[in-house]
Amino acid sequence: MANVEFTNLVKQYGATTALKAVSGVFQDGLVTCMLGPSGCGKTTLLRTIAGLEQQDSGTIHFDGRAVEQLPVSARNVGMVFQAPVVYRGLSVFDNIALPMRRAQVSDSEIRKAVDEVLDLLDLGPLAAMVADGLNAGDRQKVAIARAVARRPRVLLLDEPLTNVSGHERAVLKRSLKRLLTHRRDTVVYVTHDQSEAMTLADVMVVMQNGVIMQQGAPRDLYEKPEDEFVGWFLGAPGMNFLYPAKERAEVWMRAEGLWEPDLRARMAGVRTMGSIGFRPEYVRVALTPQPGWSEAIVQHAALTTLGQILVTAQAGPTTVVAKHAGLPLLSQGSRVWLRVPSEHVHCFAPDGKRLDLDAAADDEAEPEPVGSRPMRRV
Amino acid sequence: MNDDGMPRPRHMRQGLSLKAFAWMLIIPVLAFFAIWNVVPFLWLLGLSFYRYYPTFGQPPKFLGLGNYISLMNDPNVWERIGTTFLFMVSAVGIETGLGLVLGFVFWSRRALWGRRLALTLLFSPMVLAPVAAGTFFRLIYDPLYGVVPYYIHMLFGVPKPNLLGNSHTAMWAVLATDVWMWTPFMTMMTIAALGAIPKSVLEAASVDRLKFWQRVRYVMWPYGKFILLLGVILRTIDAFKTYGLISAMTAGGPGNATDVLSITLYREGFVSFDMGTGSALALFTLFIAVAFTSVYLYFLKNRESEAVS
Repeated sequence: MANVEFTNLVKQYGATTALKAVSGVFQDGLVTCMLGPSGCGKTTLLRTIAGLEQQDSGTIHFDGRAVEQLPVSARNVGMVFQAPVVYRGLSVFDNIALPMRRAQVSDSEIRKAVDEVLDLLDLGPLAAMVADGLNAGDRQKVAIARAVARRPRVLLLDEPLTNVSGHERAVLKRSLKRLLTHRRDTVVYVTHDQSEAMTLADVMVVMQNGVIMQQGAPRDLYEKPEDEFVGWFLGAPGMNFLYPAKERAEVWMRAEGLWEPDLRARMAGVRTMGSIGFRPEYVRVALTPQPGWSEAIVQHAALTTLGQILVTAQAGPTTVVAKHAGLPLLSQGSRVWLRVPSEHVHCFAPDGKRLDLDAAADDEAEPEPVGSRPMRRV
Repeated sequence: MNDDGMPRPRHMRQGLSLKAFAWMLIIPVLAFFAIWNVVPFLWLLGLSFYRYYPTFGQPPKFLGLGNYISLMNDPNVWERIGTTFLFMVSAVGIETGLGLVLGFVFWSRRALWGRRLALTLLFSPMVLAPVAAGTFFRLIYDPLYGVVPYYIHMLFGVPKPNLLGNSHTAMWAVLATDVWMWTPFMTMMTIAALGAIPKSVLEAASVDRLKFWQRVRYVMWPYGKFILLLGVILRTIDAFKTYGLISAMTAGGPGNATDVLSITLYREGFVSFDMGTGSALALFTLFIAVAFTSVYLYFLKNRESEAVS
């Protein structure tokens, strides 16, 4: 297994730039999940690492060895595609063994390696069956087994669960988790499904418009997004956002009950605020009036699949979404009082980058008096 | 209007049952088929039991299976069948082989310089009428003015050969023309067959570092075989009943070196006006062609059952 390091990768398709000078390192032995909306470049990055796409410029190194000019077959990567690929007419065993059948590898070695992955993926009972007769989930297992059995330097997975549905998918996800935890391979996993990424990732990468927005532990990306986009994209639903620069002054004032007084003071000191974000699950919802809290009118409340109640409420001019287990299913028009604990409020600069309130405030000549005026326009 | 408030279809409003309406739609096709296929076929079948020369002005004479028996006992007929099979197997074999190679090159080298132009030129012989191509090649093979005899003379220092006039070379000269004409078809079928392989399977094969023969065996063949077989069967049936090309080039000669069944058939029916023998031979030919078709249908059936699974 190998460290994957890529520098300034650029890939263009006609007028669109899929990768805009992307750089990064995917660490040896870790599962890195790449997440992002459709067309963000995550699959292109994966395919460029595999060698299935040729970069326009930039370098790729596996353990310090340049591979960007090598053809796919010389890079020794394993890859699993969205559509399960099995070789027709071959048994499950032979499918997995086929790429290993080379002069240097003995039959007993092949058998040992194949049996090991068959076991890890619970494919043992199916070993003798013809692979193309299996259901999608099992075919994808065969494809995964084939990719890992020969111990490639990097294992690349391109949305491997997308074409598998329902129960099969849950089974496959579990098997995959077990396999990846057991093997400790270098894995790059592309998905647009957050829960998949959260389940499997040691490291998570969020991409947008051909750029890596943030890379780090899943928890860090979730709790401390470095970019407005990451906060918006992660979570179901993502963060609530207020855009002080765009709101009119008096409008902004009325939402101020959302913040704790000390935070209000610190925010007021920042001149160049792009947006303020907070996660729905951290919005505190009171059913009785709380002094200083922002009063809001429930527009909509619904039960989520995870058993939480999702509340959309109008707090003055702004719409706030809150998500909690244990709330009653509030009726439309009922009153609630909202507040966001300071440690869960994130401020972002106009360019979307995370803003450290205290550091930003230091730049200001003198802090404004508490609550005296709204956030300044940029 | 009926219960659900939808207007009734016109055929119901006019008092036609659905069944009658369906028949009404099918009858024109059936009638066409009956007039142009079934009636002539039955006519042919009937004729094959008679001795009948329309030019002699005598009424047909019933022979029963007489025409068939004399055909079976005629060594010339078996020789014609041999010639036909030699032509068919060689033509299809060479065309398939060359078509596979060319098709693979065109398919795998997307960026080949001049690929489009080469493909267009390659496919142009197919649009010619076989008689035109035959006439054209008769000139090319002409011992006096032809290009091919000229180059044979230049390269090997032998006198300009009369390729079509020599019973040893005539068949191969005709074959070469057929290969020139129909290799593009097999090239096209090969490109189509290879195009039927899903992109992800091809990519998986390259990521899995499969060797060339492994790709042929486990990737190209499983996905491409049906289209390729379709091409082979179509070519086989077509080569079996080749007429225009040979009639324009040698008309079966010299002697009977290129006398394939379709040429014999034409001569029996429209030169000798021996309608009975001609019809019997035609039915015999038809029987062989149907046998080829059923081979393909057999493969097609397998494919359908595969698609269901």
